[in-house]
Amino acid sequence: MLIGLAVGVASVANARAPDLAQGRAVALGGGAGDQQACAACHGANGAGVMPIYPRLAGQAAFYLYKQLLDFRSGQRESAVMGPIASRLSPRDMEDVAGFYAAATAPYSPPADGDGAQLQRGGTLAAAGSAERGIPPCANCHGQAGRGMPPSFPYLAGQSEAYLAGQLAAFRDGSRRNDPLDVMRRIAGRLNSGDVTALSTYFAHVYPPAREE
Amino acid sequence: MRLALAFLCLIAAGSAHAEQGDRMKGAALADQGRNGVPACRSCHGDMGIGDGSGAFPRLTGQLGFYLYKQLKDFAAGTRPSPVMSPIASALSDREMQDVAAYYSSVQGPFFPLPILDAKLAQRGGMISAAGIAERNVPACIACHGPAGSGMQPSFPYLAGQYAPYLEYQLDQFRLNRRQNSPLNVMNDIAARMTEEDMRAVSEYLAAVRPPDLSRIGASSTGPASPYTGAPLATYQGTR
Repeated sequence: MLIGLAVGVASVANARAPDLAQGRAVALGGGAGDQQACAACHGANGAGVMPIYPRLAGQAAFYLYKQLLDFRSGQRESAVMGPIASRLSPRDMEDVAGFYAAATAPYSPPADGDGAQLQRGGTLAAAGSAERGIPPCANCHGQAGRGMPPSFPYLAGQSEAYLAGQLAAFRDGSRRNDPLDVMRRIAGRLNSGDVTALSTYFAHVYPPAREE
Repeated sequence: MRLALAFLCLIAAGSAHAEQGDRMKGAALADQGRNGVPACRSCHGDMGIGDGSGAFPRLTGQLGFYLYKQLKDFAAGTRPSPVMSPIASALSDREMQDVAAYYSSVQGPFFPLPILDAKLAQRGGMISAAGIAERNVPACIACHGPAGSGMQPSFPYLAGQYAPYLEYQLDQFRLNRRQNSPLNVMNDIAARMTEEDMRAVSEYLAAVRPPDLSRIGASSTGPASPYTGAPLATYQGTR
């Protein structure tokens, strides 16, 4: 975890380590000025208070930081996060990203999914589809979607609604902050059944355990 | 009687296999795969515990002969699977024995369960222990051992297996897509079950922690409830 964090911060070309206390202040009370608290939607521990809000707990710090930058620049369009991110200083972004990367949150497994859907999603995640040009999610997002810091977020235990929404956003181009368009190209090859199966699958996978 | 005879044949044919495998070679194949065979671990997880989702069955501690036979059946097509059939077909008989020996020799921890629907679980427990007399559904434990903990060499454990997987397999038996149970006995049984029965018994069995595994949860690495089995700390250590 520490290494992941260190790599994340290093790749921001800023040697300063995130100030977790300051990050906590931003998460719970918002940044300077008129600012909403991240915790209102994402929870103080990053578990997310509703399924449409993604889980942030233990997510790679650099990934979180980059998303905030991309919300601000509009590379990742969001009516909610755009204005919030544009009022955060880069330093606030670093700190709050570091705070949520270090957070731990319990995971309550959702009610059991449909076996056929899970198998379809799990197979696509692990093996992709050679004939349709869909690489396995595991190639970049790690085995069972555990994530590969600093850049590739974990998907395991992420909410179903959020995952499906993001795949749709990659497909319609409202999210275009993926390196080399790779997620947009992949999402373009997924049909709606694939999206449902993948979202169901990852939502039911136990999220990665952080090394303390 | 027909049934008993078939079981005897199976036992005679198969009991030697699990012990013949080389579990160290099996472990290497499970963890790394080889050219043309993906690592089992990429879907079935560390030590074969899966990933918590129920998309892929737990293999950890499963009966060796059962695992070996499933690989044979995937290859032969009596248990067709778009994923497992090509993989099994690429394995040699020796490799099947090795990998079966490996998974039967390990005891991985459990992921915490979703919250259990008590009414459903009670109904499932009754089906597992007593069957459904009016529809001629026998008790699961009659073949699958006490509380579904498995019966050597042919009857897999069901206790602690993922519910979505169990339910899906029952449905595959019912639809006659899976035809590799002795004398198709599971197909007959599943055909007499309703969807609700299948769900109930699957949810129940998934929540059962076999007595011989519960001691893992009593280790010093942390607390464990009857439903969570071994603490997740054990799993974290294997990352």
